[in-house]
Amino acid sequence: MKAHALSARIGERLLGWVALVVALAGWQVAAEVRHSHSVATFTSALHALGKILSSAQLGVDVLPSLYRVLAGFAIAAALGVVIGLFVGTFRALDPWVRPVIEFMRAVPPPLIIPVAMLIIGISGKLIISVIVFGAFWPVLLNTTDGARQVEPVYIETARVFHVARHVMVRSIVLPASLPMIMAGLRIALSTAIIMMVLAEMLASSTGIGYLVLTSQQTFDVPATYGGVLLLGVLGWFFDAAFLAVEQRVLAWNSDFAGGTRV
Amino acid sequence: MFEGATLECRHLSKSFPSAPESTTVIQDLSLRVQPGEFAVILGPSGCGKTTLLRTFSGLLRPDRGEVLVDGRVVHDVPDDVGVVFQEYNKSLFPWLSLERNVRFALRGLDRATAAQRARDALARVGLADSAHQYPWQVSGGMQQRTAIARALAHQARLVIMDEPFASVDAITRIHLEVMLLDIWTESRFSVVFVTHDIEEAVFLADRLFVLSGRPASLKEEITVTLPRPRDLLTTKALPLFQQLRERAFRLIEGGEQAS
Repeated sequence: MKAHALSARIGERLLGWVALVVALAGWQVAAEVRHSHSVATFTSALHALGKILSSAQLGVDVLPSLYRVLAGFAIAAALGVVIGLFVGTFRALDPWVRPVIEFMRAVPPPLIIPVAMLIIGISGKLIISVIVFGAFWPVLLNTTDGARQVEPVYIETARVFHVARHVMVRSIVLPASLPMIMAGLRIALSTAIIMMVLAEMLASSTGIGYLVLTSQQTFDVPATYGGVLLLGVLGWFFDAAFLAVEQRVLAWNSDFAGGTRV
Repeated sequence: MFEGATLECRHLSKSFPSAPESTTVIQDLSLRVQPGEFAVILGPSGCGKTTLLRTFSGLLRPDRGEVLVDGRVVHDVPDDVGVVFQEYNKSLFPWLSLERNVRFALRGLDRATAAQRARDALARVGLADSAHQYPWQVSGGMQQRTAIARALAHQARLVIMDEPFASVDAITRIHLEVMLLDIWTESRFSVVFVTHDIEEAVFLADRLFVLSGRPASLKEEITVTLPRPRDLLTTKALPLFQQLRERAFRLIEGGEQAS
């Protein structure tokens, strides 16, 4: 019975991979048949990707992008969680900050790029700053809401055992809000990647975004598609890594531990 | 020597502001629980029992009157009071294992001592083997047993219980009642146990405080002289049990005209 369920699950997974292979083969065939200058074949894109990863471009374009995304995401996550816990715990603050949060969240994050270019100028700091800006709001909003919705009985239980206020935030409010916080962080991670690509296209001379844009402008079509492949794989990898962390961190949560997620 | 705490409240009143006017939940309630006594507060649903318990435990301030534990006026939760809340899915922290939940009451002790005491307390409620499971992995009855273990580990001299068995199934409930009586017989902490179940109230209590509907005030105090140790079948078959149950039932059902 158990072995049967397992093989059924592997079979289901396999279907997804089969579909992926079929799609890539379709791309390959379509590009070969049409033989257009604007569409690279899958194999040439893969080849270009190999070249990006094995040449100096790895250090000039790929690694800086990774560094920016991770640094920007980490800063946004730390700021968002700390401020969110603070705002969510001390409800008196809420009416003061809520309109600001709602407004800033409603601003499409890419709009910050031209503004940041005025203020910061074109530098490495610019890209990390706009990534932080984009990724910060979903973390802040989810953490604030999570902290505000903490089950009152948890707080009362902590009071029965004389937990000090500052300890309460760390040992009750934080873990109780963790499912909400993780959901916010996941949104923030994909936003961080979007902001990285966009900022590198608009205001940088390094990075994967810059590489995709310049290769397109110099008609290095395979490299453009190689860059797209790279971003796709990176995005997928980041999300998979995030889910693996989430699975561990929220192991106590029945919604996650039941193995319902694929 | 371990001894249960006394609980006393004098002329307690509490109301909540709610539009258009405030609702009085407790009105001029006075009662006294002796050391080591098993006191049951019986009242109809929605009569303000939970508010009363929150006031007893110092989580809420009364508008008028005072609550005293061991003769001292309660301002915040007293040190040696343990509380078991009503809903099992809220009374434990879901992110901690059962053992860690119990150890939450033992913060401040060194690790080894705390772990030992937590394991002892879990063993007393029959959960020694489930110490490392998370709350969602065990039944509602086991979660409430853990909450009781936490109060035991805390060495509470007064345990306040808010309909602790109301949300578990009937068979589990009977087991929990018997287990609670066994533990209480060994330890002799004082208990204030709130319920709207007449049968449960009579079976457990030394002293029964019957409340009127909202606003809650004391309707009658009944001393339950059923012999201890009590056994589920023999105790409930006693004529005295039937009489007390009937009396309590009439008090609850009789509404206003009885008083």
